Amino acid sequence: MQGNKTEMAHFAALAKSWWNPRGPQRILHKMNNMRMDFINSTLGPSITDPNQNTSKLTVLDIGCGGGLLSESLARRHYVQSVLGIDVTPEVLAVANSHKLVDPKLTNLKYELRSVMDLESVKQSAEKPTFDIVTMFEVLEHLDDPKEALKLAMSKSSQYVFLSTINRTLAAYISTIALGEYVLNIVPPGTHTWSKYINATELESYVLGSGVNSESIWDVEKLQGCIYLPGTGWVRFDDQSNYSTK
Amino acid sequence: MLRFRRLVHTAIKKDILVVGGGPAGLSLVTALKNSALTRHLDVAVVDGQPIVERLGNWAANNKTTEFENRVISVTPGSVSFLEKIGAWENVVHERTLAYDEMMIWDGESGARIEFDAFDSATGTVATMIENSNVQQALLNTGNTRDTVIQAQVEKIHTVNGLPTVKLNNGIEIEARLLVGADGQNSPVRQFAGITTEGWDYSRHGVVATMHLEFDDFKQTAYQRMLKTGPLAFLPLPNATATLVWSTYPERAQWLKQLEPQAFTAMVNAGVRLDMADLDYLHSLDPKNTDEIIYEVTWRLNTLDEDDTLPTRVESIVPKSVASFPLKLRQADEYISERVALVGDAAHATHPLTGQGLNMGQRDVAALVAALELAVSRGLDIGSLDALEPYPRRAYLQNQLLLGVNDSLYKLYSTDCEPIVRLRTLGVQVLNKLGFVKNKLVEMAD
Ligand SMILES: Cc1cc2nc3c(=O)[nH]c(=O)nc-3n(C[C@H](O)[C@H](O)[C@H](O)COP(=O)(O)OP(=O)(O)OC[C@H]3O[C@@H](n4cnc5c(N)ncnc54)[C@H](O)[C@@H]3O)c2cc1C
Ligand SMILES: C[S@@+](CC[C@H](N)C(=O)[O-])C[C@H]1O[C@@H](n2cnc3c(N)ncnc32)[C@H](O)[C@@H]1O
Repeated sequence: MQGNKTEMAHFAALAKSWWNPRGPQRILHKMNNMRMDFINSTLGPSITDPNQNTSKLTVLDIGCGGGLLSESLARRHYVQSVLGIDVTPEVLAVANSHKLVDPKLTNLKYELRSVMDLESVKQSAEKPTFDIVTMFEVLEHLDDPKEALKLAMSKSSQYVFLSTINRTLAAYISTIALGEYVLNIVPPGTHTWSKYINATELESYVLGSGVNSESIWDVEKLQGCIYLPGTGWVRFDDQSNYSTK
Repeated sequence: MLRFRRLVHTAIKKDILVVGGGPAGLSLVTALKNSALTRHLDVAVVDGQPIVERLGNWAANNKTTEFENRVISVTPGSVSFLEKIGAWENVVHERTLAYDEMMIWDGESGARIEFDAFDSATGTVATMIENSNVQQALLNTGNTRDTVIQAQVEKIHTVNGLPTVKLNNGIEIEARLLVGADGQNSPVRQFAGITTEGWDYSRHGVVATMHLEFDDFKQTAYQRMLKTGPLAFLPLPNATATLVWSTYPERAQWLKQLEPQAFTAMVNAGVRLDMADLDYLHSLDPKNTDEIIYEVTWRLNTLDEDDTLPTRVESIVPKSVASFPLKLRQADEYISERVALVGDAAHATHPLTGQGLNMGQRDVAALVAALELAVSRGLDIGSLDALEPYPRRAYLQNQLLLGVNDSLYKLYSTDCEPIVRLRTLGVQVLNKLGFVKNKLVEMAD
């Protein structure tokens, strides 16, 4: 298993309160709402409209943590199945036990695995890739985000949705300074400055990565957001956290 | 040999269980079944009353019968919500009356405030409708009727982390989301340990259905502000009107003891005579019908006829007189984990501005919007993440409305001279300030 030990220890400590919407992962709960809105609107009504009978999509959720996004996607009528993977055993245990709260989540499975170890992960024997790959708030916790992104993209046949913290002053102020120290919403240590990735860097990773040699990938939608205490997540039009296709 | 039998928990599973099939509970079920996002949810509503039996064929059976005494005024906002969820077309429209004017006057000084249906696209201030008419319309919309279980809730407890309701027919139902639409004493609210704030007004509301001397075709709602509380005189079709007379509990008791003719006389007195006269009339023996009629009649005969006041009452519908205590209540929370409260379970208000049912409709609209959002975000519908947008929409608005109701009420329930003069001035100024009145009516909407 390849994962950064400090990061893993950190998330192991957060595991217990992962599903408490009023606990240390409060911001992640709120952010989950925003990214579901983002995914819905990117997929568009032809897929998300409950009156349409479209074929269902398969999902791989990388770095699924306690399963906030995995569960949300598994409940949508347009999703066939979700496979969530994470490198930290403690958070995966939480994901597995929380899944039991809703007996209807039979289409959701978790696997202990690092993003660096995706090679053998397949949707099925016949289909090696997934319709959707998601990787939210994971890149900034990795030693080699570029390689991880490449691997993630290689597992997707249609969409990759991801978000990461932007290495700009705004992001620094909102998550490190305000998030960790002033407000004490997430425990100190959750984010480490040098690992923040810049929006342009990410864009060039995506467009210039090895998987994009035939230029099949394009950045479809970029969305920035900042957490304002008292207001919640607010969108803006570039930078910070974003998703790609 | 000992054999162990495993106790199997055999509760029926529902996504949403609504306790209470009053206007709030039935609107919620109807709205959920009408929404593309929430229609797939497995929903049931339990009520101890035989509502399907009583209201299922109400429309066919009640074309010509007397009006019921529980009549409510629904605002254009509630009407458009009921239209949206497909229920309004099932209302028996001949039994409703939309009024386009509201006249409020001061029992001490005579100062008036008149509300017109300014701006409103519909041209109405509100529509008078029987509670049963609203309920039957909802029951007959979509498959709402099929979701109703007739049983009394005996016990609510938590099993495997889910609220589980035990019914008096032995059935147990476990729900991912338990909604309390179960009225003022809400067993669901008690189960959730949600406390309420508020007070009793030490007033009772006396209701009755009244036949008028003639049909004035005016479509005006009247309220006379007396120191004992407001007397509301609200129009129904066919020269009929409904009364909500808020007064001291002992006076309410006294009114309820009257013979129908004496009650009729007292309503005419309540609309037209001075407080001093009313005080005197209330000191008479309630069983002495002739004396009461005599004392009212000669007094009324000394007054010039004022056709801006409601048409006189000719008779009241026997047995339509009832009373209920008035209180102001606001639950401290509208939600807790796997629980939401709507309607009177969440708040109760003085009937002064006829908001009881309308606030419930707004709650339902806000809760359904929250659940639609939750489904689109794939959330567990009973989780706090899913429920939180509901109180954010509904709580403050209700608080404002309860506050407004309450201060209007307090302002009028005194006969202290300087305050009467002040409020007279206030009403006269208010009457000229269309803007402020617009705001009040908008908020009441
Ligand atoms: C006597 C009375 C007269 C009123 N008159 C007026 C008026 O003239 N004008 C006006 O605007 N408003 C009036 N109101 C207020 C108005 O009726 C309410 O605001 C409105 O009915 C609230 O609707 P609801 O659905 O929230 O609650 P309710 O109508 O109270 O419905 C609650 C339902 O829950 C059910 N229930 C409760 N406990 C249980 C249990 N343990 N098991 C199973 N079922 C249960 C009850 O049977 C009932 O059907 C009056 C209220 C009352 C009580
Ligand atoms: C901030 S959490 C995000 C969780 C989830 N994606 C969400 O947004 O709700 C980051 C997660 O990435 C996981 N993670 C860190 N390194 C990883 C790796 N190499 N492979 C897979 N997961 C990893 C951590 O265990 C942690 O659960």
